[in-house]
Amino acid sequence: MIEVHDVHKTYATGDEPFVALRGVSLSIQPGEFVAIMGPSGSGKSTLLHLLGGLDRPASGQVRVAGQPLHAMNETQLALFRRAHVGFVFQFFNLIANLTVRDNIELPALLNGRTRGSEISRRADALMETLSIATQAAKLPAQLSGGQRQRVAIARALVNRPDILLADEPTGNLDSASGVQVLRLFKELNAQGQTIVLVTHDPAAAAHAARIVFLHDGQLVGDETGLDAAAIAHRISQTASHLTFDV
Amino acid sequence: MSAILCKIKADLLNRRLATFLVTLTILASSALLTLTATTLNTMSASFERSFEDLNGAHLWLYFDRAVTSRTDVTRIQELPGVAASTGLQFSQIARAELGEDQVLISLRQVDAQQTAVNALRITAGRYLAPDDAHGVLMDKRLAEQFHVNPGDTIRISTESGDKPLQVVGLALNPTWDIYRAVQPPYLYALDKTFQSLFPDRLMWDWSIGLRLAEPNAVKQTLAAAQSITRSKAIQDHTDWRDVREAYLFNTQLNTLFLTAFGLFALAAAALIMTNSISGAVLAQFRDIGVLKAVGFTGGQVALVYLGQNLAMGAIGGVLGIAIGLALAPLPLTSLARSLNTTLRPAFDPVLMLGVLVGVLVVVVVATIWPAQRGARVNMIQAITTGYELPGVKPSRLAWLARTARLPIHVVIGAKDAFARRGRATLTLLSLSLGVVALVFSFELNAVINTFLHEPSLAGVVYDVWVSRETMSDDTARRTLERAPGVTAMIAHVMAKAETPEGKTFRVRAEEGDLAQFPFKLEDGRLINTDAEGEAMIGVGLQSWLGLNVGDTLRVTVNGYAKRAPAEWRIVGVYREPADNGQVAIVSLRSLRAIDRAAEPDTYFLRLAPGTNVDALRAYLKSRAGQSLSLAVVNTRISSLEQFRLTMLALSIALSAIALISVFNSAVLNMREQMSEVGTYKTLGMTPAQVIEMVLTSGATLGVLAGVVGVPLGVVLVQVSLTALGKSYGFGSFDLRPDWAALVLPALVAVGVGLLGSAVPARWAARLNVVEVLQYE
Repeated sequence: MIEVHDVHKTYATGDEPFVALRGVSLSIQPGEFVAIMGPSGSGKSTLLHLLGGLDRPASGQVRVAGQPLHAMNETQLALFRRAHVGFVFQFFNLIANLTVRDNIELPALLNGRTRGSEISRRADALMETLSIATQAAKLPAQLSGGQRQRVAIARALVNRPDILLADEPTGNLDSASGVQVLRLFKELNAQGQTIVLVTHDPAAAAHAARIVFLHDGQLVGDETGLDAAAIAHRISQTASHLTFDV
Repeated sequence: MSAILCKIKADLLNRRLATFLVTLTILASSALLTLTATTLNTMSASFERSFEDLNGAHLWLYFDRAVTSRTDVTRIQELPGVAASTGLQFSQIARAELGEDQVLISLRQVDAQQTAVNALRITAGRYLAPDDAHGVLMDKRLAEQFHVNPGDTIRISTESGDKPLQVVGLALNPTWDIYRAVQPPYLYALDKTFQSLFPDRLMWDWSIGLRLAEPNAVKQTLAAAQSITRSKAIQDHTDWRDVREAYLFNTQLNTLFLTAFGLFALAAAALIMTNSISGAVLAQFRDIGVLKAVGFTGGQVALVYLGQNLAMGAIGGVLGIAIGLALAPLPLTSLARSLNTTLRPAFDPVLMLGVLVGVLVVVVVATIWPAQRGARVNMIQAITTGYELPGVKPSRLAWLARTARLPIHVVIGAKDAFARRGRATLTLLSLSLGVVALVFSFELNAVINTFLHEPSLAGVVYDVWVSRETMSDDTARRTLERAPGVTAMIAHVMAKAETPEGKTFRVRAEEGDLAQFPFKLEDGRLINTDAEGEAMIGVGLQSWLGLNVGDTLRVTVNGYAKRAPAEWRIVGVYREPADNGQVAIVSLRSLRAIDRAAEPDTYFLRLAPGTNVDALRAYLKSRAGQSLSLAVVNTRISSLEQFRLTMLALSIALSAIALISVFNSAVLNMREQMSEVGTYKTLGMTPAQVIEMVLTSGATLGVLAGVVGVPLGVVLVQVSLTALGKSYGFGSFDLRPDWAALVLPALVAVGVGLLGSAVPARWAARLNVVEVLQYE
């Protein structure tokens, strides 16, 4: 489903360019729950943006659902995102003056191919599943952080995307709400939803079946079945090893 | 203080686009205001300059030869207050053949050397040379009207037959009243030419031009001259101020609109400034929090914004004044050209200082509210969230768009139009001002077109008029009744009336079926020309004398002072285009009851559609020779026509200001909604949909501006045209809504909304989602 091959990405920042990714290659199969881990500046969010078609690599190839994202223009990428990807962000990115229901229905309405009644039915079902049905008519400002993130997840799922991409989805939540969101991800994955989660929190990453480690734009590890302690240990090992190398 | 200055400088340089737009708007308003103020201040400069160059006569007296002696004239010249004079001038009224037209002219005798007082300005050709035995100078306006150029030959009717004369030059007389002329237009000839054409000295008209030590002492000098001459020796007079008024008539109208538009522009500038500063406060929300955290007081924060805008106001204001001064001659150019002079608008430092202070006051007023808002920013919220939440009330516009099943990005665009309600309202007002101006301009244009198409609406009810010379009234009427194409005729003679208060005006005494002519009655009915004692008065006379239908007009007619004043019952008020509408119409019978000798000398005709006027002229010539002459009524309403360009230019200026306002607002909206746009794009909104979304916001404001501005513009047109109509004697205007004039401004508003949003829409479409998300 997701094929990343020798991807490089550089940003122009100040006088010197910042190299975010250096030759990353990765493959993710349908139904996988993958966590991308690494310290700040390791390139994990950049990789997520490339997988979601928000950005294009400087070189290398990114194929998702058989589509070459590296060769697409802005409009093609937008249509790809609309059809294949759902995003969940740390700061929820809800539209402040749209109600919960409007926020959730927005991607489906943008799609324009789904009937209005079907969109409403999907939104109802998602709100019911995510326990926010009673908040349907409220504005985001009237919700708690956890509720907002559930609205964001519902919005991400309304078009039934092939992949759910989450960038630090628990970073702005209290621990209880964070756990709820991660359990939800696990349930969705159990139903067959492919999920890619970017986090620097070992406890969050532990909910994923597979963990990819990035450091300074390079893929430095790809492991399965780690618990939070093992993940934390792995990270500290990686960091000291790389520091030693330097 | 230095910290405040440092922050002001940094903000101005860092927000270059906003600084540029606000400064540009202030500059435009300041230029328009300067233009208006300078035009008002120097409106009469062309005439006064020309008048002074030619040493014009302040008072011109026309004598009745029968009761005036040369001694009288000498005594008038010696009156205290008379600084100089033209000396006694001789003239004779005659008929001139100019091409196909017979025109009544006044041939005036002049010396080979120009007189010191009231010299003529030669505008084409040359002055008369001593050996010009058959040369004449022609009044410039007469030459323009009949397309006569130096070198052309004209013919003058004299006792001994028609005499050819060659026009050697065109002349401008500084004291010939183009509007209330008591003399026909002048031709000027040397003494020997004049005497050879009109040797009978007893037939000569006498007149004299007086240069006064105190130019405004005209009435006193006239009274003094009347006191030392016999009664009615001075038949008429011309006051130089009336001549000036006549020249300024059109310019005054332009200035009126310039003033209105200047104020509109200033209001629009205030709206844009308020918007920009509010936007700056929002954009710098975090900065303000940091400033307050490091010790700025609320007052100092407000001072930062006040200082920034005063700096922009000063720069824009001064530049605008300079541009306004550079453009100032434009509105007065046609006037200056008509006087064959150049215009040097006076630089009045006090006036310019007034404009600058006015602009700065508006800047301060526009800054106070947003600056106070900045001063009251919650420091904690500013530092932690970095932005102020936009309004979260449900959008009715979005609901409407959704109900209409419009695409979601269009619905969002409609919602975002009022995401910042204050800013949207200010932008809407600014755009509405542009629409009001356009409606005003287009409606006025439609009215002018209607008037040009149907001159009777402006009171021009005749197609042609014919003047009679040696032929009897009865014969003239019979001839005209049989003439081809004539469908109706009014026989006419002019009389002069004077109220007991000394107000003088002209009276048309008419005979014939007035109902056959398209008189536009403002009130009452037409007079019965078969009856006696009825009058209908022009709108201007109604306002001037304060009389209405049913009132009685008591006047002395043609100087018959010893008889009882005429008492005419006013039965109607009509639209009169001449003399500011200060004219009355009575039946010939009514006039003859006072002046038995009154006999029609002019015949107004209504012609069948498609009548060939040249064929009619030829018919009259074949039947009456020189005894009847025909002139086509000039239906051009030049004073109104002049509005067109002025109005259009000013409307475009206001639309441009509205465009800046929309652009400014769209830029601010986009800056604040970057996160939302990033989210939309993340969710799959294509660049084209983003563009359409932003354009929808602009277009929504445009549509609303049309909804607000069009009715306002219509009301403004009605109110101002009614006021103008009353002032200038046109009466009320029949304002039929011109749908093109109503729809077009609304479309322009939508176009301005779209155009103003176009660049920000492209920026939004190109927004890098990753950068926005990283910023978050």
